[in-house]
Amino acid sequence: MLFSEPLPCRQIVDGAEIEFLREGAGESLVYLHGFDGVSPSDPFIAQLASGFDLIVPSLPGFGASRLLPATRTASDLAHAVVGLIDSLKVKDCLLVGSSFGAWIAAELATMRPRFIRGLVLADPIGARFAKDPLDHEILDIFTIATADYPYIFFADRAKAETAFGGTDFTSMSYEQTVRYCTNREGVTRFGWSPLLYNPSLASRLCRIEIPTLVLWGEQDRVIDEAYGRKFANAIPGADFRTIPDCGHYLPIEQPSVFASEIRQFSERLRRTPA
Amino acid sequence: MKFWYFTEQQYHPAWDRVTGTIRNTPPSGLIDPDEAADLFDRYYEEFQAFDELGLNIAVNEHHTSYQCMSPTPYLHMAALARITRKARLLSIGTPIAQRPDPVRVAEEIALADMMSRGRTEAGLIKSIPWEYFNSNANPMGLMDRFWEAHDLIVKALTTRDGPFRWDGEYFQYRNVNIIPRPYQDCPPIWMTGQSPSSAKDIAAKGYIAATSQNGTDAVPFFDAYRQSYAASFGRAATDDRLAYICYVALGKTEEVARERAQRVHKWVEFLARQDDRFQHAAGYAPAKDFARLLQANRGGSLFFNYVPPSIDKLREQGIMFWGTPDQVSEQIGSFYQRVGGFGHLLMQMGGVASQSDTIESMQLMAEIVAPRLKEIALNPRARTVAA
Repeated sequence: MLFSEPLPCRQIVDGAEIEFLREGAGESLVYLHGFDGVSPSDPFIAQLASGFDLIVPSLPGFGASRLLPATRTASDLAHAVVGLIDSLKVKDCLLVGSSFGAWIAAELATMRPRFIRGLVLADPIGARFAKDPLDHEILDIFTIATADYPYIFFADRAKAETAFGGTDFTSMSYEQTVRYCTNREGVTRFGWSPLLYNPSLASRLCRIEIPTLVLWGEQDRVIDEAYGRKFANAIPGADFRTIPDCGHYLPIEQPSVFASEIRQFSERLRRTPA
Repeated sequence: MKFWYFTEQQYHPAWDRVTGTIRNTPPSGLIDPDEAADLFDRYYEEFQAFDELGLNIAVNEHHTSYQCMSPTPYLHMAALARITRKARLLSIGTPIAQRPDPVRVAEEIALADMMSRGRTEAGLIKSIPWEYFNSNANPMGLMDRFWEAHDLIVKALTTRDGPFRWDGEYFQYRNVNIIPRPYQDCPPIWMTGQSPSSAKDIAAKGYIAATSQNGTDAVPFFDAYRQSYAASFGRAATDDRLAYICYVALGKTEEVARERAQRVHKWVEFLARQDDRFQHAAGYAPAKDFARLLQANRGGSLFFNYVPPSIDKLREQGIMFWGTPDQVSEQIGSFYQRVGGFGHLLMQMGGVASQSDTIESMQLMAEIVAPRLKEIALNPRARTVAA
């Protein structure tokens, strides 16, 4: 199973220990993970570490990262990420997020931080655009049976099987299973209600003044492409690109396409004077 | 020992109408309004009969479920307050970590207590995982919310020189002052649990701890309570601090009792009709415990692959007491000795048991079994024998 191994480094941020990974060299890139956390062997890690100074934390409440009692909302998580970036003395970076992590990255970007040069959001959630309470934009991932859960995130069922080890916990170690459960706790804490969104975020996306690229898996079953386009349209000047043969978990399903999109984005930023 | 008739006020006609699960997903359109109203007429006739028999009455709370037609127990408590005269009335209980407004809970308790002239007893409970999908309350941090809600409810029930202001971690109020106050100083508080660690927490407060249909697993629960109570209060816990919830069915002959037990058992057969999607809410149990269930291939659930035991097995396990009054007296008496004693027996019926099944069972309990067990005391050697 992916997501199930601890990250190698530790940093105390505002009194709480955060686990993270730092690999590679070059421009700094901070990556924020999706609903199920992150592991060193997740396929996009090596792809991104070739060409970037890659920094990947487990968000507080996920993996082995501790949570301060006051960390209760997605916006609090964004502040915790600011704390981590500060404490690592990163002055200039790309901020990249997938799914849940893209929500946190968007929250952070609305605060107009000076240290982010570019923002890449892969299949972001976290905003609500619909007005009718009976319209549902984001799938309720909490009411999916464990056995069916992996398949909602991938276009290719075989990749879902591999990523989640067929959800066969009997063949996993206890520590790996606890990590899976802890990640479920993390997403429950921040996404249970409102269901994977912050009611204030949609109206704040216009504050993002960082160059932004929104990537979208064409077979995303958690949220549809129309939502992705609304998300991108709400961010001034954001580009929107769809990725074929890909579900919600772009970095895991198409790691080399993901890395290549980020490299090209970074290249474009370098060529465009600030 | 005190005896309580306990019913979930089930809408059993729906059990054969649902496809699969009985909770969370089957639509309310499966209810025939007249049939449901008739059932309430029946349940209230039974309550009145049991009041006359000298039994106490317990109701509970569930949502979006054909297990129970009582989403708001204090409405029932208020109705019971007016149609009964002697029975003590227990709500077992209110899931206070799921209620956004604990002061409202305190107001409901106080009102029922005043209307019943001090016959109200209040259960404050953690509830079960699938209810978090109905209430939408976040299962993460539920115990912290539970204890803050508890502190606030108790303060609201016991403060006489209010208003007071509450600036808690989870709840904030600028003007708490419940009117009416409860009739009693504070209605007796009950909590439910299945594990020794819950028993310890309940004992530290000195509340009545109820454990449900778990047979001799009640032993570690009651033992943990007694130890924690003694450590907290410097004296032994009396039987009246401990409650056991069981199923019952009685008849003048064993044959009649067996048929009745089988009709109560219909509920046990449907009990586990649980949708996989609502089996577990992360945070309800700690990750390290949930991981153990997943590794045991149990899907993280109480009811995963649950096969309902037969009425004979349930009788053997001390989960259902059924038979003639002699047999049931013996079963409860010996269970009492095996678990080291308890002071309240909550007797659940329901299933597809009829009104006459229910009333005759309770008559035999009240008239024959209860008098025999009222003064039951622990045989000091009983636990040694059991061990």
